Amino acid sequence: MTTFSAETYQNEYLAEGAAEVNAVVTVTATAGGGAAQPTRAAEIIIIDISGSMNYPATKLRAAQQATAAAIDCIRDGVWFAIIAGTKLAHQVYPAPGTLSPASGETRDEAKQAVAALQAQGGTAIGAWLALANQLFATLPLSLNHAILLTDGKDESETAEELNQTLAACEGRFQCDCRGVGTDWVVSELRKVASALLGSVDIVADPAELTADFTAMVEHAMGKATADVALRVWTPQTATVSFVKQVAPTIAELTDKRVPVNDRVGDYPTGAWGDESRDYHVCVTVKPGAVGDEMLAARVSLVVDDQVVSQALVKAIWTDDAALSTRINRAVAHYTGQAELAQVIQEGLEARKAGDDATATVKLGRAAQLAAASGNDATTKLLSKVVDVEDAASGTVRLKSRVDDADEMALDTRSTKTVRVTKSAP
Amino acid sequence: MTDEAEAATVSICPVCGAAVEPRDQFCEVCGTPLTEEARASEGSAGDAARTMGGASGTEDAFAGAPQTHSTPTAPAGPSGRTEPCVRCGAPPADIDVDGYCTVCGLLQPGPRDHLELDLGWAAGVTDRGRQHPRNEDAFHLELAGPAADFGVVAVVCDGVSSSVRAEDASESAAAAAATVLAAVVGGAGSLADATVHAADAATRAVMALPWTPTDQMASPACTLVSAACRLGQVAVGWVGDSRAYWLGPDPSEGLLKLTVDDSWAEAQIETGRMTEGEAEADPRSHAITRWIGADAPDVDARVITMTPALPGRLLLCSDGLWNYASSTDDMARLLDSQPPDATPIQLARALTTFALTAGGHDNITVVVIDLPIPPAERDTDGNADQQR
Repeated sequence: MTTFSAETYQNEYLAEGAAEVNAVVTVTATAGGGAAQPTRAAEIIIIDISGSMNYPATKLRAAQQATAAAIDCIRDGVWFAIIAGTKLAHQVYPAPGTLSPASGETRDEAKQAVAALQAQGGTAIGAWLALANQLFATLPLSLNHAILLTDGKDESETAEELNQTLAACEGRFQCDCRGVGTDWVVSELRKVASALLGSVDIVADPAELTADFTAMVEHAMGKATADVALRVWTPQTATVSFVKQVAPTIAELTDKRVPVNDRVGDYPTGAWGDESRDYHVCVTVKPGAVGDEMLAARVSLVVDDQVVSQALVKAIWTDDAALSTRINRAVAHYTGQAELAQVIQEGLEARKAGDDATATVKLGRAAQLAAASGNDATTKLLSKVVDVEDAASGTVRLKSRVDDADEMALDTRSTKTVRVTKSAP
Repeated sequence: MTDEAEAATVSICPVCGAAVEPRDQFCEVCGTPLTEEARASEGSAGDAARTMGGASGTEDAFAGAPQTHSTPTAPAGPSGRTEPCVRCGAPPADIDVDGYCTVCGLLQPGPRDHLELDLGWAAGVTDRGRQHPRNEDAFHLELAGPAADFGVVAVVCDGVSSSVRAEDASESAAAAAATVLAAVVGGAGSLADATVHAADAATRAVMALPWTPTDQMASPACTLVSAACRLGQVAVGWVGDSRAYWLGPDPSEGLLKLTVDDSWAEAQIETGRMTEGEAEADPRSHAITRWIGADAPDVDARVITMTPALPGRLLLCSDGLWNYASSTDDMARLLDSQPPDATPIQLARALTTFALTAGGHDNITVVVIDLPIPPAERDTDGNADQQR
């Protein structure tokens, strides 16, 4: 049994007339004592077998090996299927329209089917996801996870078709997306991952696929609680300005709100294992009088429509500037991390568009933020795209030659944050 | 356990160490919930059950004195409230267990927002004021010992607003200090020594409060001013900037300020670096230099003892009152402007109203004690008793 706890980090004191309330809510899920009750789970692996996977041929072979390794990581009893994608979706294993419970036998059969795959044809990511959605639908009430691997642009369907499929899949399963090589489009896969509450990353070298696939399946197998929602209550006169996950990665949730009633909305957070995540909640309220205390938001974790934990976000109006001007460390830190992700993406976009001046300013700011917050992973990725002259002032020079893979790695991983260090006792 | 019979009926509060009855839902001293049921309802009925004042046990000795407790009775509903939201008028059912309106979000007035205790010749009032969401002041007022000794104990504590659980700190400190003082006032022993011990007990009670560290707030902390009186003897002790004043029978002797604030302003004045006016005008003036709490400087409470000419009036207050009459002259003028025949509760209410009218910037607490001439010193006509 997983237990959830939620804690608020904020400066609840607001100056007279202030209306914006910010808080970071840390949610921690802890597996209880005793063996975890196995939840019914389903895993679908989707691999791109478009013609380009043959160039070089090592790409398809690596994808086949990685898929085989991933199959080996699927826990006994977990329902699984393999889909191969071209401009159509082909079910590789098991029989069309079904999933199989994992066992030694079914895993071997699946690996043989994967080994026989040949590359040819186009890329229609939406079609692949639609088939996965169909398969998951045959298993109601299970914890559904997919892995999607592609090496190219979604060119055999329109963007609108992909959007429609994503809308149909949202909330049905989670999907981690991987791009192999450098011919795929970061924004496209990011859109898929974001809609399906998954991660996106580049695997530049096909040889690294096996380790990455193995890690993803192991991570998915560690999830114990499906469909956890962050439920946010706000008072009648208040509006939620934004809700975003800020650790371990930035994930915008604001537009995913599912209204429960006038004052309550649910934000999906997907499945949880033993883990901790931070959320930044920003609420705009009607300012109270000095001395008023208001509950600006009640943030709850909801599993199966049951509230399992909650945290309060408060607002207290004061004319004591010493109280109202304090900046909460967690809020400041994650505001910085969100800006970091944003300026990296904007900087890279400007660079692609040939606007070097904007790119230099944006990536300079990124270098400054990454250094100041101790985000060493991002600092390292940045250093492959810019020469950092002075991180403190954000002075950088764009490198004249940048490896595509480095640029895509910086782009995909821009949303990875470092956690704020909470104050010691 | 050395006494099995006693162990069967009396146990100890796990937080403040006070004796509690098996039937108690909450510790009467610090308000800690003692049963599962009480813990479950903490924050709603729990707050209401934390009562102010401690006249029980000595009430019989003063059966003739008015005993007006404003302590609310335990509420019936799960929300703990029977009043609609004070801002938007939402019905009581819409007030959640934490005291917030589920429609407009406003924190509803708490049981401690305004409390009065009238023991006749001693009375106290505490009020949230106008600009703080909670009342982090607390007082404890208790008659102790035989009626003829006119024993009384008063403690006023002001929770430090930049500390966590400030309202719990003030309440447990006041209760713990009063318990120590009441035992000595009701028995023998030095009032001055008891005053120091009482502040130590208050410190232990505050340190025993569980709290979660945050990067915004300090550990639980409060100020303390205490008065212990027996047979016309008075001991006043203090830590921080809550004050005590004495007004004797001879008006020409004026108002006597008994305490010296442990504050930045007072430190400047004492060392001659600034005049009173300059120091008071400085934004740092109100920073306190000593307080009750875990991270407080480890020093004894300052104590002043006296055997004043009687009858006289003792006034204890938090800075929520004296902010509006900081100099002794201003406070004397304020007291002069009150009706001369005001009873302690009337005076305490009037001073509270004065502070509220002046802005109510902070929580306000006022305790007034009229010390009569003890029977042994009275003339045969009993004149000194007339004013009661």
